[in-house]
Amino acid sequence: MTKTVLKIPGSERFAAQGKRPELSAIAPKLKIFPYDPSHEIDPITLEVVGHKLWQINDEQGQALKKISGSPVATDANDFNVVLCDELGDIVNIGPYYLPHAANVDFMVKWTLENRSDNPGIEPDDMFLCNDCWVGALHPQDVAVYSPVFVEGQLFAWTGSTIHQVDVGGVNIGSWCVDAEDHFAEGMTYPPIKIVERGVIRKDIEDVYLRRSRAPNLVALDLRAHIASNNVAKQRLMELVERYGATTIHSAMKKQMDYAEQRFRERLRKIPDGIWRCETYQEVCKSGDRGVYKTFLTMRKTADRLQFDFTGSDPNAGMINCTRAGAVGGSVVAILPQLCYDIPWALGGLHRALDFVTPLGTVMNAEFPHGVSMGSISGTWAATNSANICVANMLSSVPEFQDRLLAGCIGSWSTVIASGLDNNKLPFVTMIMDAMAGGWGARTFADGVNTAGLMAAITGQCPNVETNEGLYPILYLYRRETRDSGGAGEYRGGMGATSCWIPYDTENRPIEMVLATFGQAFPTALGVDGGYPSNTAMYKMVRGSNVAEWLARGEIPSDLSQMQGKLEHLPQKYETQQFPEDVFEQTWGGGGGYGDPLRRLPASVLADAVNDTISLGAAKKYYGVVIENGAINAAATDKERLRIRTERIGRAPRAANGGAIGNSNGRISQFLLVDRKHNIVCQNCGHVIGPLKQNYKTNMVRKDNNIQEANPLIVDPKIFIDPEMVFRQYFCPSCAVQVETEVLLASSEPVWDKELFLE
Amino acid sequence: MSTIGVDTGGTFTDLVYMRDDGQIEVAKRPSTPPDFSVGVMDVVEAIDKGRNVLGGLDYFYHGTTVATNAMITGSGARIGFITTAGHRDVLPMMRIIGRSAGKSEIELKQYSYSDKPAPIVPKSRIKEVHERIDYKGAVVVPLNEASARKAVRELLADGVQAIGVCFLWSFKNRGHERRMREIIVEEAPGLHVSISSDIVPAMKEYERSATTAVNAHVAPLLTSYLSKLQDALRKRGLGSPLLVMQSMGGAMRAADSERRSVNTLASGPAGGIVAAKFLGNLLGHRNIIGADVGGTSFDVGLVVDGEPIITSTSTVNQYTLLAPTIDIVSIGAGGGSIAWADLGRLKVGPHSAGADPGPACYGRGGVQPTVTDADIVLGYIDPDYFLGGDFKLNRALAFKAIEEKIARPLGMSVRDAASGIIEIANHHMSDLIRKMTIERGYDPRDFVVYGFGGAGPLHGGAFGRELGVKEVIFPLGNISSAFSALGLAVSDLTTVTQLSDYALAPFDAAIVGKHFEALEKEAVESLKGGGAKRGKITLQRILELRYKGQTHQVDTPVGGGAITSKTLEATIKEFERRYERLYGRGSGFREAGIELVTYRVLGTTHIQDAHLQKLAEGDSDPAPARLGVEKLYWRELKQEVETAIYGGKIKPGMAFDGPAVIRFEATTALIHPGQHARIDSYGNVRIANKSGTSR
Repeated sequence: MTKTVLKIPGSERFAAQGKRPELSAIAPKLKIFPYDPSHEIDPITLEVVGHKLWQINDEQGQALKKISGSPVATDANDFNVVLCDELGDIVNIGPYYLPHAANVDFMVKWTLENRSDNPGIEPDDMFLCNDCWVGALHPQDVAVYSPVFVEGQLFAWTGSTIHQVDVGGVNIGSWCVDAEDHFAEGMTYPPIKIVERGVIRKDIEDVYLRRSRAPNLVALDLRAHIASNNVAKQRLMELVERYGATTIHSAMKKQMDYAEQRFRERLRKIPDGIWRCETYQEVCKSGDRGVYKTFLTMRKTADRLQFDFTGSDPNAGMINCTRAGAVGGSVVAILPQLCYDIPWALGGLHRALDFVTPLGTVMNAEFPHGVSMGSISGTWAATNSANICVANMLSSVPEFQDRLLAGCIGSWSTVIASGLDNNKLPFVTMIMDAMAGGWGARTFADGVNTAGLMAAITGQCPNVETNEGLYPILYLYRRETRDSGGAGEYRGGMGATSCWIPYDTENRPIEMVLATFGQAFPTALGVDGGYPSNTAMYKMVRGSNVAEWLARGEIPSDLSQMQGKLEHLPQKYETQQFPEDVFEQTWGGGGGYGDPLRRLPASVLADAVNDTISLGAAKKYYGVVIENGAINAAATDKERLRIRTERIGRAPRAANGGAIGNSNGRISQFLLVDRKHNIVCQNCGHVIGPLKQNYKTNMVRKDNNIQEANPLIVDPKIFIDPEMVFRQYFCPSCAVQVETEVLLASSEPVWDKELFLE
Repeated sequence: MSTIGVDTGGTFTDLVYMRDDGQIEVAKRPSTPPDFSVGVMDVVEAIDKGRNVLGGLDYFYHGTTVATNAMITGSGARIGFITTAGHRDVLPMMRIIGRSAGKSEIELKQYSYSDKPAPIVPKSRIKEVHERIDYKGAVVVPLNEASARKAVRELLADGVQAIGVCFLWSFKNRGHERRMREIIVEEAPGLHVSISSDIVPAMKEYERSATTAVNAHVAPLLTSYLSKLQDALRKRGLGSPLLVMQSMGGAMRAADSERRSVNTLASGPAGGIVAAKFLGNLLGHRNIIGADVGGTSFDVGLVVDGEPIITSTSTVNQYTLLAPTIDIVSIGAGGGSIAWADLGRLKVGPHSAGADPGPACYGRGGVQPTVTDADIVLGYIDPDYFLGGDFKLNRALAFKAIEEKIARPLGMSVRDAASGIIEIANHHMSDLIRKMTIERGYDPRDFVVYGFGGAGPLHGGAFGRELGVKEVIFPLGNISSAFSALGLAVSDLTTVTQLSDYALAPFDAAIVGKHFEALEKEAVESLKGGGAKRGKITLQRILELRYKGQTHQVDTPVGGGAITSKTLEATIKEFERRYERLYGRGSGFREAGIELVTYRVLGTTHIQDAHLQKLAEGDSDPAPARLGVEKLYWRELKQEVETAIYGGKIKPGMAFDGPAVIRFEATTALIHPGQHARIDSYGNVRIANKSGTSR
């Protein structure tokens, strides 16, 4: 139903690959600081300088965060800072929104190749860029970066990216749910020289601000960019003065070399293999009812790791990212699970990484396909799939399995609101409550409830009082969502739900733009037999009687208590909230880890007592019978046996751990490999089948309605046409749940863990 | 006047006795968990020596970690909590920041080990009550007394020992919370109740809830601990009130702890900064970096223009509390930081050997080399003379650890490895100090460094020079290891009152004036109730301001006298000046508008006139204190040189040319090559940095 998007000849030159530029591609008038690999630094100086280089990023981030006026930056930490070497390789990134890490380096490299001649790259210049093909995740993510010169030679780059509340386009917040293509989205600027020799170009700034619905905020953030870049530059120059340019230059290179070495060393400890994940986004723009696949094949060979998105669906609507987004989204899953104790010097890590991003897909859109949701669509799908592939890979290594997380908050739930604020001044804002996402379960503990995003190391959601103080809304409730964490031996962390009404709007409606995915099916997946999380959800009760409730002195605790017309709002939607309308937003928890029938009944009871799971879920997913606030142990044993029997259609063999002493390798928690290269059930010793065959084909498979995946899933037909399925795979002998899948009903079982054991 | 300060730490309880004649006595005894009062009485006995010291005291000050320990271990009261209907989960959600608050970047990058702390109160003991107030303070839904009473009864049935209450917007309209307290008192007379509009009437319901819940959790325990201790001290002859150190640096009366327990939570490192302010006042130092180098942590705070920098929040056990506190940054560095070799690199920290097993040289089974081991190997610390010889260290074990774990893998000599470890540790410390000062808008070169704590004088000379500060001081020589306890003994009484009332500039002078008047009245009442019979009360007004849309406020002082539009204009100018100092020239953006968030009044009763004995400076020749000469390695000279060792009779006026080592009973001071130190008339070791710039 979307109209054909025409190809634009000449647009290819903006499609950056993020490759280190050849010196021949850079104008000769730009002198590059020469790298001397033979320059030795003693280990003590190297460590001293390395620490100071790290601190530059820290100071830069602090400065940016404090000046920025955008709640997106200050609450969600949706910004980042980087230090790059002279050709754009990243020496260090800040501990903020991680996908931006694969953002500024793309831009710097493109700038070197395309701007070094005209208009030229000079000391104290700064470039602004939000062009998604050059490297931005979506047009709202504006980067400003600056070359650092030493004695007339280009020595390094410092840069920062901040999500802007609005940069224009057909819908507020620049989340252009109604756009047919990129031309209706926020204005994108390929690298332009916004600061020339230390002075802001007013004409360029005006061009930039003119497109925004919130020019004051955007102008404030521009100053945050500039000031923070200057902080970093000044600190770097102080180091150069103190230790000498060659030593600092060399230390930056060695920082990347060290990260690369450590990363390769870690990869060598992991068996070679292929891990795969198929996941989806639904509804590509307002009015659409389709489902769009992201397919990731992750190949680990010796000390290299490749992320190949071949097999992903063609670009559609607004839900695409560009190559930078696919890379940045993958990095989100790589850094915390694989590089938790390795410096995040991406320039070095990238030498062991490889990304295949076929052009013209949701994972790498061709210009001018829509990208206004890029940062939280294709990029997020890259994170979701890479999260699962890396977690499954780590599950094969006893030494590292404690580092994996099951799927974390499976989508971002955008809510853009605008109207008149409590000072009766116009506002546009993004409501940041959805920062409170649940994280995936671990191999030794439940996922963290309302923990944040996987993409942001730290973050916060605003206080209710902060939002009510600024905007014309009144919350009826905000709470962690019961049953939102995926079931498992270790449960996924809970996400949360917010519900508010317009307040003091003097009968004006609040304008809203909504953009998310994962409403029709869950996207934070389980690992090693864990269940997926809940789904995201936007709901509105139109013409409610909430005023009557408040007038009689009660606050409703659920939409179902109120009269009015309940609407499930689509994933991509522009709407208005009128004074009598009640809006509710739910976002995702984390996936579970392991078979929930193995969860300690006491933990299930604790969850029930603390309103973390419902009694129904305790019985259905965990097989735990709770009566009058206590566990009925006999009934629980009976129920668990009944579920196991039902899973495989006969009495299950008892778990005996029989294969553990005899294994020759490990694929996952429940799948070991014996000396004959057969896959064996860890739980009972049953021989499942040959290593060279998708183990799923040799397990008992059960296809369920998608609503069986989590108690909170509504009928997907509300949103989409294609049929989805929730699949479970059980050991044919002991009935342990080895894996679960959320797929299109038409999809084949995915061979998600293919190991090449010697 | 004479005072005593007793500072209870995790390992030791320190006492400083400030005598009428300006002399200082110190004592140290092991801390005695779980009943810390035993250690307090032990150290009091140790100083008393049959003199009935307590009887003659003007004030007895105590810094205690009882509340902090209760919070971290969850051993405080079993509490219930009551919230506005629909907002039960404010505390469990912790606004997400509870996962990361107070954690280092190194810890946070390890996602699978990143978690929220154990809850102070589980969801099952958090009850919702129908009531609602809006952002203007207007009642949307009146307090439903039936649901209020039901909530209290349910909590009582669940065996709670204290109840906290936090309703939305209660700081704008306290009526519902006050009525709620009445209902609780009716249902359970005598039960501890903390209501948020009493504890801290400021905006931000998560932080306000956390502050209230923590207070309810720790207050019963702290109150009973203090009353028991007060009884014991009275029996022992104490006639003056027991005063308790608060994290903002002043003391409060023990009797006020019921409502203000939460203010003691981050008080541990505050004493050192108060002591720095006190000593700085005598020495004419207005800007001081206080650096406390301990065995397992390194704490830095600032004194600017003669006053410690205070922040409006503190972070304890990952909870963000609206409890004003001296702004102190800590890293897990110090003597116990572990050195390790990795791919040709030498690293120090972030792991620490802690107190147990401790550094390899302790001989308690530690095999990882630490900074202390490096100090031993290089001969800076005398293994036979650590803590005055009470505790022997094993140099051979230190040598072995550095040789095996560092020198051999990196292909360097043990000596080079040890000096490298110290070099890196010193840089980590100077980097942290630099970060701390610059982030707050100051330049370390405008400061002097006071290096204290057990290892301050060992490392202060090096990191002070690295920072380019004007002067490095090891305060009061030997007493620098008990400097925090000294800070207690010289404290005034303080209180903070605050309220939030949002406004957009231009502000209404009448409203601002009315709010400050109310806060000042409350502050004065609180201080008078604090038993301060003598002493002048001073009040300082502060507004938290920001540019519209920002979430970070800048504390801006407001002039005294009646509030007029002129006062407010000056305040806004001051805000912009401070903002630009923090974030750079041209960073301000008045076009965005300026918002007022919170009013605060800091009240102080000046009860102190403690003084220090000042001796005439004698001969500069240090020869009488010379213990001998050792060949020691100095990294800056890249060789071993004959180094004079001093100790014993260190006298005011003596001057020392580096390299030199001064051994005090409780600490060792290094005077690096090229540095010159002298002992001033108070007994401070003072090292002037010649040019005031870094090398």
